[in-house]
Amino acid sequence: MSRVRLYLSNDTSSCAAGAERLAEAWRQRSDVELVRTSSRGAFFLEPMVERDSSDGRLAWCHATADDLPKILAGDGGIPVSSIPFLSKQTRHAFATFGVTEPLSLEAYRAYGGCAGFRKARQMSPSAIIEEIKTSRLRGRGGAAFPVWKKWEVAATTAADRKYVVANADEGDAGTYCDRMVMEGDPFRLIEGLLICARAIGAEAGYIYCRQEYPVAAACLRAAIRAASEAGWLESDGQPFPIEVVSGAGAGSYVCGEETALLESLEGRRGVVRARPPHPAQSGLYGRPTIVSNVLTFATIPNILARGGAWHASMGTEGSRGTAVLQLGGRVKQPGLIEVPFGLTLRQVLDQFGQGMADGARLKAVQVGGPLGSLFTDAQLDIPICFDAFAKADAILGHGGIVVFDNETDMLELSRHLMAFVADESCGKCVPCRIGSLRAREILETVQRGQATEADLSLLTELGDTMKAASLCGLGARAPYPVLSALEHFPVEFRNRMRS
Amino acid sequence: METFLPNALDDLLIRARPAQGAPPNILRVLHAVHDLCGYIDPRAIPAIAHSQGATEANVAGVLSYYPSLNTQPAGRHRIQVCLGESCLANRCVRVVEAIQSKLGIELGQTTPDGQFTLEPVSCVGNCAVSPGVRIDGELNGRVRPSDVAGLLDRYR
Amino acid sequence: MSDHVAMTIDGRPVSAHAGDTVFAAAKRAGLTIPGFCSSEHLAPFGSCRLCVCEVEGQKGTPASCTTLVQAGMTVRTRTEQLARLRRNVTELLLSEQPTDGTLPAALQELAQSVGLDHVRYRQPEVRAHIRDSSNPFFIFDNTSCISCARCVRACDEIQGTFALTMVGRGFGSRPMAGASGYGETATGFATSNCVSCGACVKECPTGALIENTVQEHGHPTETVRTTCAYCGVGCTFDAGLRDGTVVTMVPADDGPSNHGHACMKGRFGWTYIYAEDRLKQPMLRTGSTWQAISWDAALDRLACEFTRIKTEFGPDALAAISSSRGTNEENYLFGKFIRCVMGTNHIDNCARVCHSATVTGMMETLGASAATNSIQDLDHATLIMVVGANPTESHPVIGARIKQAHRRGVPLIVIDPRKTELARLATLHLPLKPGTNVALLNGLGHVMAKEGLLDRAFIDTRTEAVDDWLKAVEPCTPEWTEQITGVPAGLIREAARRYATSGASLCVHGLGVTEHRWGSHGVMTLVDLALATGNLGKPGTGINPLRGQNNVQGASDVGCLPTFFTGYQPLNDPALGGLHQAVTGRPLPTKRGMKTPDMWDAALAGQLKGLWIIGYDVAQTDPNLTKVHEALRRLDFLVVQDLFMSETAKMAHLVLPGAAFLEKDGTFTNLERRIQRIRKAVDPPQGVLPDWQVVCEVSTRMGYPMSYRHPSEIMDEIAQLTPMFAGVSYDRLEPPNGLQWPVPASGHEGTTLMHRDRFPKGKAHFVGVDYLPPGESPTDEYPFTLITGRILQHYNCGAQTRRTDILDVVGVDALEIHPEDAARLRLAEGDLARLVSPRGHAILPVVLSERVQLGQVFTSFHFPASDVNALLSSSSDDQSRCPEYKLSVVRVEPLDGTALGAGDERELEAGQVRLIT
Ligand SMILES: Nc1nc2c(c(=O)[nH]1)N[C@H]1C(S)=C(S)[C@@H](COP(=O)(O)OP(=O)(O)OC[C@H]3O[C@@H](n4cnc5c(=O)[nH]c(N)nc54)[C@H](O)[C@@H]3O)O[C@H]1N2
Ligand SMILES: Nc1nc2c(c(=O)[nH]1)N[C@H]1C(S)=C(S)[C@@H](COP(=O)(O)OP(=O)(O)OC[C@H]3O[C@@H](n4cnc5c(=O)[nH]c(N)nc54)[C@H](O)[C@@H]3O)O[C@H]1N2
Ligand SMILES: Cc1cc2nc3c(=O)[nH]c(=O)nc-3n(C[C@H](O)[C@H](O)[C@H](O)COP(=O)(O)O)c2cc1C
Ligand code: SF4
Ligand code: SF4
Ligand code: SF4
Ligand code: SF4
Ligand code: SF4
Ligand code: FES
Ligand code: FES
Ligand SMILES: [Mo]
Repeated sequence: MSRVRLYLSNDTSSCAAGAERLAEAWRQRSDVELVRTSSRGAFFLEPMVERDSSDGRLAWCHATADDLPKILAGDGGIPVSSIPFLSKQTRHAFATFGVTEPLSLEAYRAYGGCAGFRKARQMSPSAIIEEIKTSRLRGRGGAAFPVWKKWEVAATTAADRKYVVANADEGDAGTYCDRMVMEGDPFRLIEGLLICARAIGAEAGYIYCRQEYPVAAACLRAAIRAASEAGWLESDGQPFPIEVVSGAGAGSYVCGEETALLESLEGRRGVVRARPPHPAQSGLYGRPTIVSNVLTFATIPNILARGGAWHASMGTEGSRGTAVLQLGGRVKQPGLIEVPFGLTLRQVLDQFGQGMADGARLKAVQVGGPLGSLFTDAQLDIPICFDAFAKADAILGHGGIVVFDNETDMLELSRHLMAFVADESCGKCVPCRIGSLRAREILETVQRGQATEADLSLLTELGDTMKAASLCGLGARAPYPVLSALEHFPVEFRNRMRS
Repeated sequence: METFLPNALDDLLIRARPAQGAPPNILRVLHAVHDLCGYIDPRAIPAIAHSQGATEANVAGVLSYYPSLNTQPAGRHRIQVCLGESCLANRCVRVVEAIQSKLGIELGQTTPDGQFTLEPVSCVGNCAVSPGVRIDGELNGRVRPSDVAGLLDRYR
Repeated sequence: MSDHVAMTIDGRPVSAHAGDTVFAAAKRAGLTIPGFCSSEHLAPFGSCRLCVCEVEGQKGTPASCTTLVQAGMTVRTRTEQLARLRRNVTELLLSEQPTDGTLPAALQELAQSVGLDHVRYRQPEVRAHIRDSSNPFFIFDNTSCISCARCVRACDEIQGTFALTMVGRGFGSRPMAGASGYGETATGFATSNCVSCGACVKECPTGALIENTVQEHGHPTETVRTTCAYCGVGCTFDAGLRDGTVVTMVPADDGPSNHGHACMKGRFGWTYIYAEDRLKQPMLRTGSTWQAISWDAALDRLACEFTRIKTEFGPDALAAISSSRGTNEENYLFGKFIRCVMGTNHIDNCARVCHSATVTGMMETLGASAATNSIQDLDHATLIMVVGANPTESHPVIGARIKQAHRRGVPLIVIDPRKTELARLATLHLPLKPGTNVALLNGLGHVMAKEGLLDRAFIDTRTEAVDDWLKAVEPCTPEWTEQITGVPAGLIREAARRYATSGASLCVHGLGVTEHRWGSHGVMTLVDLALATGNLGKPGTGINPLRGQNNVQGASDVGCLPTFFTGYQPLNDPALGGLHQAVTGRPLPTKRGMKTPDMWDAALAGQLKGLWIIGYDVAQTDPNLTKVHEALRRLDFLVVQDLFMSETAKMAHLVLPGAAFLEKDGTFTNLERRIQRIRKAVDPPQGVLPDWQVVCEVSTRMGYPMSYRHPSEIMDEIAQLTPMFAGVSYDRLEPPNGLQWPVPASGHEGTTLMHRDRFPKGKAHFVGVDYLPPGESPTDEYPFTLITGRILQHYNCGAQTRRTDILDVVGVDALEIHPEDAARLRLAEGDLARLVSPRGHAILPVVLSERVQLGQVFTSFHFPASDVNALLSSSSDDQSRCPEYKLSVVRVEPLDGTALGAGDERELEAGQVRLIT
């Protein structure tokens, strides 16, 4: 009997949505050949089963185990290319998601993988950096710093050893694209690391993977093993070891901050270091180190393969290439979206999110994780672009977009976010160590109905102090969501004041 | 005190000794101990410090910093509920309440029978299939309060 | 750092040093920016955020203490915005403090200076009430703390002990000693590896860490600059006074040898000056009864006895031992007394039992016998080799400096039978068998010669007799050396290569080289290695003996030696004789005098009748005590001048009280040849005279009047008689740096680096020596090798440290024995053991320690009750007579505690033993 090849995502979220249950049910069947792929990121459709057809892949969405006869018969599937959520995207970093098997090196190669590294091998380090400069790529971890500048500093700083570190801490709630890359296309991250290592002359790489991502760490380890067996992890006879450090952050959010990350990687308390020196000058064990986000590294191979100019041709003036957004919260269609920079937030929510979940009305949108500012409906026409967000006192961060509905208690949300900062503060600098607690206390006073106007203006002033005087982004960004909530939803605060 | 160290831990610490000239990595050893024992007994601090050529203060400082390094044994099953913003927006608080009332414990506590420990986590990267509840490493998405009973029963 | 950067701060042009932070540049320019968490001794940190500034052309308000200066930078530190931020940050700091009026003064001042009158936060959570008073010298009170981590950083970056950590995160993060947060928070310091250096206390900006003495007596109201009187590092201190008593000793930031750092002894171990049992009156012994007598009576008696002996038996029946603890002026004067009044050269000092082998060894090879380089060279060395020294305990401030270098990545070679703290950190540790230095160092030389690692140019132009040395090292193959020393041949090769090729290898050595049967040879072979590799006469290199006592260098420099006059001038130099006659009015005796061990022989032979000892407890610290005691008992008249009734004083006929360093003026010379002032801070106990005045009084009474109004006049006389001190005078010693000899002329700025272009004799002289075995080797009857030496906490005879709260930290000498040996002997930690040698026996509590090798035991000699030195032999170095303290054979026997007699006054409380290992 011939077996029908079915594709089913092996991504953590797909599994949580039910893909794993399908796989369990069908694993023993002799008429099914189950291929576990990466996920397309249209999570609202998961679990989604695909099979080949003359129209390309057909998909069965929200599949259950009982759907198998239907699928085997080819009944009711829709062409993947007809799913607007996917077809409207411009996929580059995520082009092969849902198509390939994550740990198949052949598949990676077949879809254009390795081309960037092959090119880089023929280029001088400075030519690689020049290419990155041409691409105008900015870091995707949050700070949006031009990538080439960091590389140049690391490349030109003399040292006996240099390192590259992939920041896979992905601490922002509402973000998951790094996890998807690590689980779904690990070779792309490895390739990015290798190119960077060649450009700066690094001798070892680390992938600092958060504890909450055990599957990602396992995939990376397997991919590194495969890459190493394929002879990738050496150039000119020099081995380039990459170590996956899993769970190093052990639940600490601030360990995503690059200097705290390095402390933690060295096995110490994850406390933020003062800069200068920047990691590119003096990072891991005091050596020049490039710390970059997973997505940043995953963007590099295409830039080398297709040229910096290709990358620079997409996006807005200050934000070139594609934005990888992760939609979550109370939208109808949560999932991963890759589009050129420049679409407005409203367009993203409308075109991809397809509005709110059933029965819900939009109240606020938080972009850029727990430190991101809140937007109201009226503010959604802002372009997705680092500079436009900066101008609006907001951040794009790592591209997480969480939509809150009308039932959300904005005071409680503010308290929750400030409590998060107070819990996660590394405790080094006064404005954050004490300030975040004081801010939480004030919000609790409001909740208890004991606050006065003076408390709110103290909160505002405290927020300004934290913004201006904190050592790192945690304390400096912490006031933004709270102050934007206070600004946009004053009634929810003032209703609870002492009369 | 001296008799406290289980043999396996002793072996682990001997293996974890940094090579001559190599810097110690306290956090890494703590992770290894945590993996082995499920928690880190503070009485092991001197031995851990010794194995790393570090001081007790160094070890204690690191141990106290990282929230997920437990210093007390957890229950047989670890329930982790995501309290990240996407899950919050999708009403994870109600799920927490359901678990709390079913087990009779608060966040951070272990049931008296030692079966379940309930912990908050902040985002497991499952925001598009939220709210998420992870039990012993197995992640469940789109959990509704009404799902809780069935979920937990699987682990009895 | 001569690069200057022009910038503007608050409208003022400022010339900053390249690499400075804005904070430091402003401070240097006299513009202070508020700030609690930064310190010139610590790396930039940036936690308090009080020092925020605005930089033109830059966004935001960065911390000035983490912002580096740049040419042309314009910085503002006092704008309205910054004032507001500072006020708000201050308000946050105050908001976690208790509201019961116990706000730390520093915070109170800060609040005032930023114009903060009240805290707006209502019922804020405050700091946890945690108090750690387990350290005998200072307390920690978390309520006054601001979690700036300066204490933690001080312990890491300055002291290198890592006894502290920040614990927890966020609001609750706070400093903690050891792992006490997981146990008894109140015992953190006591149960941690803290060495009580006090660096954390000094760095603490709020007084959360504070000296007990300040808690008790209040902050000092004035300070007097002086120099520590314990070890040869010569740390500069400010003695803090209140109501005429000393309440603190704080290391001075501009101290040239310590840069603001110190150790337990200097920092906290000074309270002995107020000990109940300080000697306050002269005491005369008849039989076994003591009688306090007047100063006049005492001085008359002394003068009378010495005159009598001199007339009856001649000058050779009298001798003196001077104190290496006293000032240069006191030592010189005592020498002058013995030469001009007694007419002999029978004078010695503690250097005899300490680094005399260094003196002979370096004299013969280099022609000068002191550290060739300076402490600061530790910062320039590209390799540091530590031979037979344990600086983290014996010279802690230097030990800390070596640890800093090691953390910067400078390789460290340690040659020591024991696994000392530095040996544990070392890149290479060569654990040789005690007494085999010459073999090992020759073995290193062999590898260097064989592998062509010699500095031929240096050898050709700067040295002579290299063939002598080459011949000596020729047979010493690494394999042969391994056989003798027990050090693996591979380690020997690697050490030789590294030392020879680092570019700037600096060597420090200690008593592990000198206090041996062939100590002088050990020093010579060490010098040979430096000569052969050109590691001399350059910054970051050299042969640097870690001289022991505060003024053991000086005591020898100013002539308290039987073989040399001041400045190591030969006694038989006719020109010197003429000058001496002219200046002192008396001839300089030319016949060499007796070295201390010779004095014991002479006394036993009945030739020595009278002996005057100042500040040296020979009856406890010299070797082979049975013999020494016997010799002392044979004397007709023994005078001892000390602060306390020492073991030697107990045997004296006349005891004179002495003034302690805080009670007098003078100078000490530290181990880098630096002459530094000590200054009188407080009065001595009623009627007590400084040692030099006693000498003057007696001399005058014996017909040779000495009348100096101030020690400075004595120094002038030393300068007059001594070419290498010619340029030394008190006014030139006024600046904090003092002067490093040689200072050949009054315009000469002193010598930080010796032998730069030439050696005193022109060329340096290689001396090839062959390995010879130590005085004794283990036998079936005495199977263990006993090494004696120091521990951090106590000092030599212990007279001083035992009279301070240091006694709470360590209260006994303990026997360190390898756990396997202990197990074999059925000895457990804390058990009492009896040590038996061919000379005597001693009883000590046992500490299991992997610092010692199998077959070796170690103990200190700081407690008279231990009687350790009764075990030792009179064996000594041929040339220098430096005793073989570092090696004797013993048997170790378990001892039933109940076997101790009830009348036994030993306080062997093993429970108190806590060695910092
Ligand atoms: N805390 C404290 N500090 C002091 C003193 C004190 O009593 N207490 N005393 C001061 C005085 S007077 C002096 S002289 C200095 C002395 O300071 P150090 O020279 O450091 O003195 P020790 O600790 O006696 O011995 C040093 C080392 O020699 C090693 N050793 C023993 N035998 C050998 C050998 O054969 N070869 C080699 N290579 N090493 C060997 C010992 O193991 C020991 O670690 O310290 C001064 N500082
Ligand atoms: N077993 C063993 N024995 C040793 C050593 C060893 O390594 N092992 N090391 C040897 C060495 S290196 C040394 S240097 C000696 C040191 O041995 P000692 O010189 O005997 O000991 P110290 O404690 O330095 O000081 C001796 C006395 O000087 C007194 N004193 C201090 N300051 C003054 C002052 O200003 N005036 C007067 N009048 N008296 C003062 C003190 O009260 C003390 O009683 O010990 C030696 N003994
Ligand atoms: C509190 C805090 C948390 C951060 N967390 C992350 C993170 O989880 N992942 C990440 O890539 N960058 C994170 N960053 C940003 C990093 O510090 C750093 O800018 C980034 O890793 C650089 O990579 P990029 O250049 O590729 O953006 C965080 C920053 C702060 C202040
Ligand atoms: S800020 Fe506006 S104009 Fe500038 S790049 Fe962004 S979208 Fe374009
Ligand atoms: S802002 Fe917060 S997390 Fe960042 S350094 Fe300061 S205390 Fe640490
Ligand atoms: S006294 Fe010295 S050793 Fe002890 S904790 Fe303070 S800095 Fe560290
Ligand atoms: S004890 Fe002093 S130095 Fe240490 S953190 Fe507290 S305030 Fe800072
Ligand atoms: S290192 Fe020596 S000089 Fe400095 S404080 Fe300690 S004992 Fe005194
Ligand atoms: S917010 Fe809960 S999984 Fe991301
Ligand atoms: S002094 Fe600069 S931050 Fe504290
Ligand atoms: Mo000494």
